[in-house]
Amino acid sequence: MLVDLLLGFQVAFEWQNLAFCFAGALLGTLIGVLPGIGPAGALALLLPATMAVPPVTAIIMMAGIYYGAMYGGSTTAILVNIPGEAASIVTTLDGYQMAQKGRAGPALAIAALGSFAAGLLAIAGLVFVAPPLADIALSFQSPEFVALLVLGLTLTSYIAFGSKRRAFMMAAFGLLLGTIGLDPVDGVERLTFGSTYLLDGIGLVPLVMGLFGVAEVLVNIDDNIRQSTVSGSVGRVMPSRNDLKDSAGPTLRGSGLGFLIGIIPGGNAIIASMLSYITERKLSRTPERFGQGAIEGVAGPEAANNSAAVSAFVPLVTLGIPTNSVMALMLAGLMVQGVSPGPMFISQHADVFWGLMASMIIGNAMLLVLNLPLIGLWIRLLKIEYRYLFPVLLLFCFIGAYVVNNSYFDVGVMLVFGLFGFWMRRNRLEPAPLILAFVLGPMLEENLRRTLIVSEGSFGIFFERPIALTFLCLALLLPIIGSLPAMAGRLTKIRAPEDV
Amino acid sequence: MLRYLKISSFVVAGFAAAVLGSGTAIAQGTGAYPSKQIDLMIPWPTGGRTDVSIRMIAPYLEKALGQPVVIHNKVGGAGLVGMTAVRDAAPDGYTISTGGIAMASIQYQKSNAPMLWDYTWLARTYSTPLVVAVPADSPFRNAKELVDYARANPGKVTHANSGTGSSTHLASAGMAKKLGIRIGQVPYKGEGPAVVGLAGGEASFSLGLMPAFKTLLDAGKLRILGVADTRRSPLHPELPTLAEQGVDFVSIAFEALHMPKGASPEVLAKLRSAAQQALNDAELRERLATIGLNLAYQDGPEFVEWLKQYDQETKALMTELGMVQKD
Repeated sequence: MLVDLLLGFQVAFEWQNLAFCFAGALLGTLIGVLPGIGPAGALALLLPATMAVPPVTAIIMMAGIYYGAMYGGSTTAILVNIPGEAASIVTTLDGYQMAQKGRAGPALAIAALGSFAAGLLAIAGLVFVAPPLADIALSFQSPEFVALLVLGLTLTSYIAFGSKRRAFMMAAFGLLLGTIGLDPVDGVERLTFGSTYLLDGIGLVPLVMGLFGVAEVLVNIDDNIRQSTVSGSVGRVMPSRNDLKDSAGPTLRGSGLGFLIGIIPGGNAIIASMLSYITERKLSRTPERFGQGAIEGVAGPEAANNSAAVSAFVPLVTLGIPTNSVMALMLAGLMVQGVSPGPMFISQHADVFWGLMASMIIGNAMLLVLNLPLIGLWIRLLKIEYRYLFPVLLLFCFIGAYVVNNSYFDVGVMLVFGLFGFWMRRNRLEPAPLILAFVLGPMLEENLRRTLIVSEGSFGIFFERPIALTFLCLALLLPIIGSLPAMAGRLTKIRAPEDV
Repeated sequence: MLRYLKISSFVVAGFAAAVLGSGTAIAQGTGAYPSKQIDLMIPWPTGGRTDVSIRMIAPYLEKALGQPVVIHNKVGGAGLVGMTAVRDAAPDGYTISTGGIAMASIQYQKSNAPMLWDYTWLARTYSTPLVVAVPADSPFRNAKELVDYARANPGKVTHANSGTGSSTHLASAGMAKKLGIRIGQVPYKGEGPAVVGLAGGEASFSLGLMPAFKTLLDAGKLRILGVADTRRSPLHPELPTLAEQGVDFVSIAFEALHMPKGASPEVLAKLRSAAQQALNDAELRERLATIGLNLAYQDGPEFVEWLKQYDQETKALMTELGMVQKD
């Protein structure tokens, strides 16, 4: 194993591969920082060019763009409350609050360090346990997805800080928005009002850009444009010893959680970061700090989404299953060169696999070296007066919403939800539960209906599948456990007078 | 002040005129077609089969046309947004597209959908037969057993497809119609999940392209029962055809370059000859084979004769499935 990895480093340290790794990571960071613009577009443009270089060089650069983008996604989430990609939504919750309190530097540094640590841990996981994990990926069928998604939806309201009732309302509205478009089984149009543009439903990127990006800008403008995003000092750049101590646990847990979710084909980084956030909030001795700028709320989810991004390679390299469009492009990039991922991939193309692994270690280190000095520069952005900053932010929101599908309609969707998001913020309604329900709802419907087709209408199938049953039991138990302290508190209050 | 304004507005106006003038000069082109980049618009997102294959083909088209060919993913409305945009584009040869199968079915499903015959078909790019795959532990050892079982047990056999109304759904429904059997469907969102679901035993079989099954086939999780073609595939000569096993069914996946109707003869001639040159390149043939597609150039008029028949068959099938919304 170590000999293989040494061979990998030999491949990865060839000057050409090093250069492409760096170029990929740099480009990826840039893509990640810009809101809405994801790595898929860049990879598609590069695809024909990759035929000109050896397969290992091609995949090294493509992978660099991919994990580089995962690094960059948290930057705007922390600085201006606009997630660079959908998976960073959770990072806005505490990251932005930290920035507001003059702790943008530590937040960015912890996000970078957490991403680095999670990246390394996930690569180690990939190297040592990828082959056996392939079978787990395959055992995750429709009923297991249903159970995982039920669990996810049950926990959605824990991502909110205000009233539970309002969070449920938003989640319900998110579910409703998710039903727009073609019915997944019968192909019947729902809530499209005859519009062709709504056939595929509302896009996630325009929705996120609207509810977070445009709404955030509107709120700030309405607040009479503050002089700068942060009044007073932007504070220290590097995290303190205490910050590091507080982040260690969340980073490790986030990495593990993210790795497991990433393996599942179709389990995505949003779910991973959300579960990590909820876990940290539940485990914390001071959960009331969450939403107010708790560093654990940045470290955990950031680690989780990076770890999930890396472990998404497991189904790709072991089974040749791409779990998202970026992975599909990497698969194509390899297949064009006559390298087909799958069970024989690691043994037949040892140089490609180990070279990729080694380059990911190098690339992650490069990203850290690249990103830490940049933090000083980023936090100076906060000194810019908002009236100069917001047109640029809006511009990037427009570009981000447009480029996904090259669609003006999506820009319109973003604007509508921008106004709606503004109204929500003014009425203390939180967007996070809405987005999560919007993502999870359609997946749940599709998988549930398919499960029932396969089981010929019987719900008994959930009791026959151990993984599914475990998740469902968790979904049932967690809310009860969660409300125990409150109930206990109420009981002692009732008893108290008797004791006196 | 007033004079200053006047002068400056003259300068601005002059400058604007110069820019506009040069702009139109570029737009109209000074020489023969093509004199600027050609937009190849596809209605599907990046990473899909159409996207990946056309990105491989595009450099060869560029070489033949002498101008950049830029791929645009105009996504939305189950493909309708992109298809409509191409139909409504100027037939000046600077907007072309590729596809065909999805359009053949969706044209009967949505009242505002473009029809196959709203376009001029330039050339077929690839043509690849579908294969029948089953889970590794499936009781069916060959295609005949599968079909016989389905005939004896109507509705018991199910197929995994990449979505209701998708090409793989219609292909399997077409198979059932042709063979006079009744089968159920298990729809997924896309090809990847459908193949994983099949390997996990959620459906009895799936009809799709070889590259979709390739890796799980290598992993020993799937088996291929046969190729839905009259002769063995040059890419997989070891696989028997369905016909060899006594199952009379052919199903081909294809794509063809097309453009809005009404182009001038010069533009058409240029595009057709460029396609002929690009799509007969031996290197491109090899590259497409790596993603399991069989480069199969066919000139527009010849392809159209075949497409007419395909159109009729698709319509008949959709009518039977009760999916036709318009004629």
